[in-house]
Amino acid sequence: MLLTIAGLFALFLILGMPIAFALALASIPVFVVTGTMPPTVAVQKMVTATQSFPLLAVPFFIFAGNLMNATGITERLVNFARLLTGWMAGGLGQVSIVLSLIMGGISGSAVADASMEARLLGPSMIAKGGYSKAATAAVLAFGSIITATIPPSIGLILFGFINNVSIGQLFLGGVLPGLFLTVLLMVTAYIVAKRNGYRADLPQMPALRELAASFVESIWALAFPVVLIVGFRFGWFTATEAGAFLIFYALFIGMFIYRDLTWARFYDAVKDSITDLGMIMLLIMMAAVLGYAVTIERGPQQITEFVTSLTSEPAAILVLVTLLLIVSGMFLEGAANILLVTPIVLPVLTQAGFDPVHMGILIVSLINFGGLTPPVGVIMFTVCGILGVKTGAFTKAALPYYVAMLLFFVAVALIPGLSLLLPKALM
Amino acid sequence: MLQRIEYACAGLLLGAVVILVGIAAVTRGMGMPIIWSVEVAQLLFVWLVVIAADLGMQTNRHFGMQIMLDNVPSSIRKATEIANILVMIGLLAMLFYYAWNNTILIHSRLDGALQLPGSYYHGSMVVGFGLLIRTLLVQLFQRIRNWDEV
Repeated sequence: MLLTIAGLFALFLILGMPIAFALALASIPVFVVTGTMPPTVAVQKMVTATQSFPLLAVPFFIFAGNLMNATGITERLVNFARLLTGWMAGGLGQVSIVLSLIMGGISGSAVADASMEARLLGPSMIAKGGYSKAATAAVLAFGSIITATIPPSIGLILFGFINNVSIGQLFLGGVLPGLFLTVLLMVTAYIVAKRNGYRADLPQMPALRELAASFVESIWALAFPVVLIVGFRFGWFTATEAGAFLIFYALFIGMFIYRDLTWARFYDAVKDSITDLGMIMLLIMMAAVLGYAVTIERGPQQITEFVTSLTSEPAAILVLVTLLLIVSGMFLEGAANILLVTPIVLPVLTQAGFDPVHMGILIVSLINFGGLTPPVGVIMFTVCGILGVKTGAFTKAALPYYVAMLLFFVAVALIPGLSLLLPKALM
Repeated sequence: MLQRIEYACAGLLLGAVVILVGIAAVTRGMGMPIIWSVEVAQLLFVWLVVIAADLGMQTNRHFGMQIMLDNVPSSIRKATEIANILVMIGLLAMLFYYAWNNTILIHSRLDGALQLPGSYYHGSMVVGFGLLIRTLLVQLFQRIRNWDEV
């Protein structure tokens, strides 16, 4: 039966069926043919999937991110990032990486970050920075991955929700790996820029006073991740409440401090958030049904048994799971992958003695990495679509960054402290 | 027209959910928690989700894998897309039927501190599947009518 489910899912996927529907279609046989469960249970599972308090954080952070863009905070952050790193080799490329790190603190979605930066920075990187289109797409796409590890991250919320891992701990765990990835990508961008002669964006380092002024202007956005982490540490709020709080915070800044928020911008932010939310929640509801069907068929146990029959060496299991995630990441979109694959592989890993928070950081970054690889890479498609780059040219230009990501994964996998230091010390 | 009503409903629901969760957090912080606040937020949320899912369908946000369809002759692609829509309508019709039965079945179950009937929650699925079927039927007719275009 498990093979039937997998086969049906693959079939509908290849036929171009929307993933949410492919999930539902694949799970129908379990309810209709075997008769172990009445099909009304499938409908009930869809309703229960929406009735999770931690899950409410997802729409909240999506809405908050869209609002932040509408308040004009983004332009101020671009300016700050530009003063901070624009004078380095690779200029705007470095700016885009740092901007992803800063934006990561208020927005949780790598795709949203990548498309925003491609529109905002892409054209001037090509016109003024000496970057080729493909090189621009590569640095923007890879930088956006940082967003997905810095709190608040939608991927980490989904991971915590579906696997019952503390979202607060996951958020804290993502901080150091996110910073590490930023440095790694900046070094890579520096080497690439030196070799290809990409120009710096600013002639020299800015005056300290100029930098300080820009810092003060951006303080509202820069302070947020700190407030978030302090709030978790002292138990002031949960992730969901923080999301609601961030929405009010963004509205307040937009209306009273920057005064850039107009009705039209507000309305667009609401509309975008609603369709984003509809897309991701339908996926979650259908994935919940399939997850239930797979559990009835003892899927996780069978897969655990299969893996442990191959090897009982924890390191080998980790390598196997990593390879599986890279492959599934190549074909499936991130949220679908987290909801579908992680409940199956996490038990295998925890049984082998790995910490769920450590694994969460590794798995979510691996899955996001899938968005940067052909044949199906959502982040890659988004950036290439906006800048008009072919995927073949993208992968060629991205080679140095693929190497950097490989280094990053090895480091995160081998050094648990990178992910666990902060959660252990603070919570 | 219907789309504007749906956006308005979804927008109001989203606002209400945010405000209710905010109120719950603040009152809890002040030491006089309102229990029903989060409960109502979650009830509204499921309704928000079904409307948003339909709006997502109308704006083509429910993505799938395009790699096969991008590499076949356009007549095969169009035929497959139409077949996909038919399969989705079939699936949704089936789910609609079970959602209706389920809503009747679960009506007598009272939930949470407010003791709301379960049908308040589960009825959303009937409406949601109905809306999705309507949207897909519209898309189906559009595709058949525009068969000759690219």
